[in-house]
Amino acid sequence: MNYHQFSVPDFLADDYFLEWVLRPDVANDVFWLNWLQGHPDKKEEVAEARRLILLLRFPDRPIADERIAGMLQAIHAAADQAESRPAGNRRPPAPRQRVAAYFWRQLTYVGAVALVLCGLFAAHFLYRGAGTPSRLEALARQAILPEHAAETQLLLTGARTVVLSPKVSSLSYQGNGRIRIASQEAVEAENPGGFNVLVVPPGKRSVLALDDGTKVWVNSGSRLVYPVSFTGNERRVYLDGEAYFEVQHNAQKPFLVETQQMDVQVLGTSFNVTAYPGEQTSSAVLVNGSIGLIANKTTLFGKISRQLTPNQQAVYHQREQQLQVREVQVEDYISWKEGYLLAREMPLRTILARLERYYNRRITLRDVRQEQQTFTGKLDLKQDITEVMDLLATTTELDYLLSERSTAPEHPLE
Amino acid sequence: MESKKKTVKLSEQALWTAFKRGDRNAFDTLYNQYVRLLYTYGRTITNNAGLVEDCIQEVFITLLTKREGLKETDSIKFYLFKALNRRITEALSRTRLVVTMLPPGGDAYTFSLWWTEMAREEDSMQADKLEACMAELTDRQRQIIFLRFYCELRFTEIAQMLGLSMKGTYKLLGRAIGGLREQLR
Repeated sequence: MNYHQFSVPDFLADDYFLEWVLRPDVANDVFWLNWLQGHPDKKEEVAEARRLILLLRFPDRPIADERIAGMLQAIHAAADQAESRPAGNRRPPAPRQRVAAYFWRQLTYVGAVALVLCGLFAAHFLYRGAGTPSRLEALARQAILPEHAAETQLLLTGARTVVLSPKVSSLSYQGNGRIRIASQEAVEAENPGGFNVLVVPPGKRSVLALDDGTKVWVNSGSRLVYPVSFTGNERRVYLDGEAYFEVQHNAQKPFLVETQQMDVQVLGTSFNVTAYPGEQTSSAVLVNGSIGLIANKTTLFGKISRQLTPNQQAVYHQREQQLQVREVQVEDYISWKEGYLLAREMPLRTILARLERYYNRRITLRDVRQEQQTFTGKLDLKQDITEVMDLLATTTELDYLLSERSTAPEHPLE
Repeated sequence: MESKKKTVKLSEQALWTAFKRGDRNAFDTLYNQYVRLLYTYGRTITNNAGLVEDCIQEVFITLLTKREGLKETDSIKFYLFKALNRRITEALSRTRLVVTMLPPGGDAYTFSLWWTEMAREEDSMQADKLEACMAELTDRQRQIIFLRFYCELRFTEIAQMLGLSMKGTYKLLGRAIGGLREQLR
């Protein structure tokens, strides 16, 4: 090796040099220190290469010790099973061990087929009855329209309703039907087999932790239907409006978000879904992981299924019955959960619709043509609506009127 | 000059031989030695933690069940990394096959970096700066930096892993390092 001609990258590409920097021992220390004495002109290159190697220390990605131990146990169980099948001459294990082995074997097998299953779901949807609203959708339809609610409401089984008054309410399902509500002292008890509906009116938001640990940020003007406990072989929820999901990974129980126009199917992922019933489009934005989409779900033959990769948005256009996929800046779509609105060349029409929903106010432009203007910037939604509108007005020369939204009947004739 | 290296190698070789004889303790030692490294590596290929866990299990199950047919290997570590890389890539392409329409150029193979909270606290300035610098590199450049300095694979092994010639690997590493040095200045 012609070390005397080495530059910094050459040292970094040299295995013995790397070994010396990371794991010095007598042998390599003697070698490299001797070498340096013979090549004093290389001192700087060596120092720089050492500095870079020591700088590039990456931390381990965190994983729980129990996961590591559980995986090892599953590996042994799966291997035992694979080996005992052809040979057949092994002594059967003691009954108790056998039960444990069976359990682990099932677990690994499910793990192994999880990837294949992911593909089968698309097929599963094609066979779902067309045109009829699903059970969850029907439950959503029975609940009050978000526009008509004054406060956030949690509809429990047995026609009980809990009113959540905070601007941003928070509740969590803690297993066995226990629901902890941040604004309340008491813990609600529910039948684990039932369904709950969360209705979030304009001007309010909600954060909830579902029974499986999945976190959902529900935006203003939305309805979310979900089981008290995920008991079946899938986790299915229904959404009208907008929500951001951080799904707890569970390969055995895929997570599904139904909306009126499209379904989103998930393994373990963070993503945002927008599906306001009155609007022409529904969309999903994927932050990380992988999701599959099924659109046109009410027609039998026109169904569209599509896979999203991170930083992609799928927009379903109801009129054209088309699904468009494009690359986006995800922050633009999930910033609402942190309380601000990021706009990138966003039409004023879209911005105003969001602000109306967020603040529960009616915004009227004196000149409707101004709706076509676009705006780029960051709006802090923690500010008062007049401050937000002033910022918009100064940059776009808007002339607008603010008014209260008409208050709606307590019980809509739906 | 390689006396220490040889003893390390010998014990790894001994572990491998014991494992091939059917010694489950040797297998557990191998597993515990490499599982965190493999997991971290897998998570740089895909953000899907569950998929990485599934693939790691498959790699070790195959290792255990096919051990009679395995060649003597001079690097168990390299074998494991290569096997995991192949599994994950296959799994990702399998999920993609299901898709009826793929966005042009859409690629599930992304390389992302992270910093644990702990590492941040330890040396937050440094970590932030390095993270920013790494972000300026291409996926491929980040990958070679990671394979070299986190996984500590040998140079020839990296070439094989990335499907490059030695010269090509050297060039890639050079460019990645060049980019980093420029940023760190």
